[in-house]
Amino acid sequence: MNKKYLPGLVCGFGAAVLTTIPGVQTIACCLLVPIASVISIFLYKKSQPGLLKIQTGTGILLGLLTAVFAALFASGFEIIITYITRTSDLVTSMPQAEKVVKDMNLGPAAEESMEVLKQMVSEIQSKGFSFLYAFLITATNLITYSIFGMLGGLIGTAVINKRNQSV
Amino acid sequence: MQHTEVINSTELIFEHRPKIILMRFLLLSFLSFWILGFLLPAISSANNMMTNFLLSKIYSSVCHQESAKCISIGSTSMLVCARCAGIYAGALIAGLLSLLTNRPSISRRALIFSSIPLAIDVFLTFTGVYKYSQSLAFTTGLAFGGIVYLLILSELENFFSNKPFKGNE
Repeated sequence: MNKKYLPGLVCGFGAAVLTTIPGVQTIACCLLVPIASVISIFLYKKSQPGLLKIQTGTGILLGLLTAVFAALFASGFEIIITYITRTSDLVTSMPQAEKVVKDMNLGPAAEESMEVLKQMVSEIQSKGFSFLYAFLITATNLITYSIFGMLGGLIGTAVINKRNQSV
Repeated sequence: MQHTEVINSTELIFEHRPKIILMRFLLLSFLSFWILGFLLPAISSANNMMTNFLLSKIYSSVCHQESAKCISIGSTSMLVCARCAGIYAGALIAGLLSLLTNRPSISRRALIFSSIPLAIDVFLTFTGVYKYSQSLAFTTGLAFGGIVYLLILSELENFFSNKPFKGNE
């Protein structure tokens, strides 16, 4: 396996596992994926002892790989947990959302989107799986994690290269 | 020798100046767009449930969104917590200031120092020494966000000018 994939895979999996543990995201918040990307670059550097400096492009690529793996694993975990428990945060927040739509009389657009959400909720409650829900969480995770992973890659490259300069 | 290096780096800045300014504007625009996204439910009167759900899902993957920790505008809350809002606000301020400066140079020490108040606040609220304060979380995030933004900017500028930080891969 290419040496660039392995740190990304390990750190991405680690970050995805941490996102499923309640309370961890409360502490790490938006820094979980960037931290995983920084560790991934550190591991990549460790795996190549002759490497003095890491190119910024390589850092971004490693961050992106970590983020993509994290997004895929995190989405997979959420889909499995939803399948087992037959509930998700969408199901729990639905009665409140319905009440808001009824109370505020938000019009036909709100009613239509409410119908789509209701369909997702009923599929989750009956079968434990909704294709639209699975697609939405995977897509949103891929987008946001990729952005934060690349940013983490940039920070990691800067930090590790500066560290080498000072040594 | 040192004089030649200074001339070379100045030449490098002027050579890549349009590219650097464009990049700073692009990065700032992207950040503004991202900030607008989490502010949208709080500032917009349009209430499309699907849009709100999608936005909430997007930001939930990078923030815990605990309602007690989110800043409220009127009756609705932002989609990120006070600390994240502080980080993004700090980045926005740094982004605006970076348009007026030449080349940001951020040391590793600055990054560590800016993260210390944030880490202490997280630790003390987590261990229950004091109660979570939105204003304190926002303030500690502010400095960290600014430094991180400048670090990212300096690394991106090195990437585009492509000379000073070339790796040996």
